[in-house]
Amino acid sequence: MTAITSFISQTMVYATVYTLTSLGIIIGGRTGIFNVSAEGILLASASGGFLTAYLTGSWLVGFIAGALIGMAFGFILAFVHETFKVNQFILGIILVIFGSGLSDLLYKIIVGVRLSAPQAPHVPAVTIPFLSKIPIISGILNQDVIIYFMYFAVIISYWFYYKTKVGLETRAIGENPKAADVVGVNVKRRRYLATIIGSALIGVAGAYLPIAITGTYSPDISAGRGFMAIGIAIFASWKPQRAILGGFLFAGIEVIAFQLKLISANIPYQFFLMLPFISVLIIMMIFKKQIEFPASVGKPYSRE
Amino acid sequence: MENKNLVELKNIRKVFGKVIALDNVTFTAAKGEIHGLLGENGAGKSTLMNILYGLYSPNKGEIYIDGKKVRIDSPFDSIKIGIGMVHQISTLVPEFNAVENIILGTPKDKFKLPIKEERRKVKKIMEELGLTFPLDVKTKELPAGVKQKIEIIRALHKGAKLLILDEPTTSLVESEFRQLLKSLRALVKKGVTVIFITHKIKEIMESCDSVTVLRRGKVQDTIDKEQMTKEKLVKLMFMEKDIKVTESALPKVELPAIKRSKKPVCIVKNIEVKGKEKSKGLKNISFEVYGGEIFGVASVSGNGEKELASAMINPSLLSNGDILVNGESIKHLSTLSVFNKGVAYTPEDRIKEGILNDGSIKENVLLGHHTEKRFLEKNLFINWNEATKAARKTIKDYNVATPSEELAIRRLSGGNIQKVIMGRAFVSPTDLLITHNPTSGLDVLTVEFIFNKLVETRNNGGAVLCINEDLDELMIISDRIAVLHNGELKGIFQRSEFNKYKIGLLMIGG
Repeated sequence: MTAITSFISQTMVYATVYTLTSLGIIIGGRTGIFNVSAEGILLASASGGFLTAYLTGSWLVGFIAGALIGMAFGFILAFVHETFKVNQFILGIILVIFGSGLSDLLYKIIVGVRLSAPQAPHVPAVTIPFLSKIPIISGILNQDVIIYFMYFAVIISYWFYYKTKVGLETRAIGENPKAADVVGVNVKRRRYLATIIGSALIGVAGAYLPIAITGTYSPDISAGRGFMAIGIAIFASWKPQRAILGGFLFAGIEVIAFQLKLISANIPYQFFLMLPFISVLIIMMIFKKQIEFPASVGKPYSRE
Repeated sequence: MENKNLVELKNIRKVFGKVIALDNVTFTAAKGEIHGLLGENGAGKSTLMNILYGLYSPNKGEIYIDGKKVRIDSPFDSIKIGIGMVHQISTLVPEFNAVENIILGTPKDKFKLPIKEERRKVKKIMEELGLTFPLDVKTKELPAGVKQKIEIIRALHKGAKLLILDEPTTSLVESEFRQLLKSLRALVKKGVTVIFITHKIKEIMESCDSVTVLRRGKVQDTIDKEQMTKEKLVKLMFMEKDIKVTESALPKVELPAIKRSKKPVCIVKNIEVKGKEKSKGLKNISFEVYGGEIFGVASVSGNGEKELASAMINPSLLSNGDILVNGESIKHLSTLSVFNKGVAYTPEDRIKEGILNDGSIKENVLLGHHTEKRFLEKNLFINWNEATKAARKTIKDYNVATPSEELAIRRLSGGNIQKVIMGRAFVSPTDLLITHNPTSGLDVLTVEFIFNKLVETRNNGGAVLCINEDLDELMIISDRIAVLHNGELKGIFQRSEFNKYKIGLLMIGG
């Protein structure tokens, strides 16, 4: 029983990282900005978020710092792309490299080298009366606030895209920016907003890694999840409600791979580290036909 | 004081890079009229209207609506003061249905999605204008004529008092044009003003109350219906040049009576091609093209004409049937081998499919001929001297305006690029020329040149298969016209039987 509960709760923890990150990518992509810099944002906000939480002693301030770092990255991406029409993918890759360099640099400047790693303040769990006492269900419900934040973000984005006119317009930008422009929608402003908000979510996911999962920062803490999240965004056909499915799927695979690593002695552990990536590849191959793309993703837009 | 003019544009200047698109243009349109804006491609018509709509910002000039000076920085501003525009290329979101497209951008209730309510409103406007179209189908499934109706309704739904139509007839056939005209008249009765952009004199004569003629970014004149004559408009449009034009303001060419070859050069036998995505492909198509004739294929875009053009030069696409050139089957040949059998091809999309953008004119002329003996040394290396000779000959024979054959082809104008492509087709002897929309987007002088080349080929005994969306053009240059609709051949007409209305109706499946 405890094995199942622990599997579920671990999966949920990693699903939070995957879902928030891919949701962030989706929000940008829906306006045509393909944010491939997620890995860099995860790293930078993991480091920055952790350090802020550690120094202030407040997990919440840590998450806010993570989100702000994400927003800064999002702003740079939108600004450089919209102003100078630099290719989004080149920009994204540059930001990945920048983020990974920045993360270690910040940690070394502020913490330096220590024998025992500094610990982040604890993130409070949400407890629901009565239900939290039932086995298995408690494993599902008894989770930290950020997981609930993730559910909330998915529901809000679904409502936004499919139940509001602004959402319809935002989807229109992703499909055909000219169509949105000629009916008076400010394409540039929406692209800025979406990239910044999306990157803020990725920043929250970044801060979640050290503060809630490992308790401390270590180099390359994101371990390629920012790139996996791109796969999830595509797998989800850029739909928030599917991103959460993808998030859970890949988190589940990762947790299984992690458990297998612990119990099998003869197989090199690198093999298990590889599993999530292989499964992304296979899943993408299987679902190739079902995948839809907003038509303008990755493409610059200008009127003249 | 009641103001007579709804729109006044004063001293508008617009520069793109080094090109002056509009030079001190002053334009007025009176309330409740259909005002034509006539000019050749590149005369600046769309640019001027895009400035009025707020998509482009002018370098200089003022805009007055109802006598009041206004500032229009974006379509958001222009929609607010009652301007609507239907662009030449559809600006609908292909993944959305008509209602979703129509309500996009309306400022009220941003955080609601009142589809049902809006649907009712849209239906009401449709009824008032006598327009019908499906409301719940994704617009990517709909033909161009229907999309245009949706865009008109969209503009009216946003409360447009002024409706700008940019080349609205590009993808319409005659009967659809009549219907559009009827709707526009109904709109004018309701007090809407219409600006009608076109390069076709005939359409101006038939639909407009007054017209402004633009030429190379300058206003030539504005004239009222009473003074409009075909000759006068032609003169204003082309000025110094003396070209003969037909009723539809296309260059006039003569087709001398010649004897076509006894045996057909090309026989297409019951071919079928599977369609991709929404296209239906080709179903059981058969026809013959003789030497000494221009065989036109009339088809509204998306009815199988792309598949036909592709299959003719890439027979591996055929799922059934056969194509014979000079009596030999080409069914199992590669595109290059088809070319080596005396077939030449000029594609519809000259930039994407016709040329190597960064290659020189010389390299582009050689393309497709590069395996012919005379362009090879030791059967392996390219003989660049021969290539240079061929390129120079093409430049000379086809009047390509370029300083040298080494110039990157992308630096030429569209018309000159088309001349190079046309010239390339005749670098080696050609029995069958397949040409797809050879004149799209070209100015009248170049169109005249291309027409003459096609007719010259025909007169010298060559076979020409001309696939074209523009029925007016086909009626000028074809000996016979076949109509393609929904992937099926709907009939073949002899020159003596040409009837614009009848053929046009077949093109849309009527």
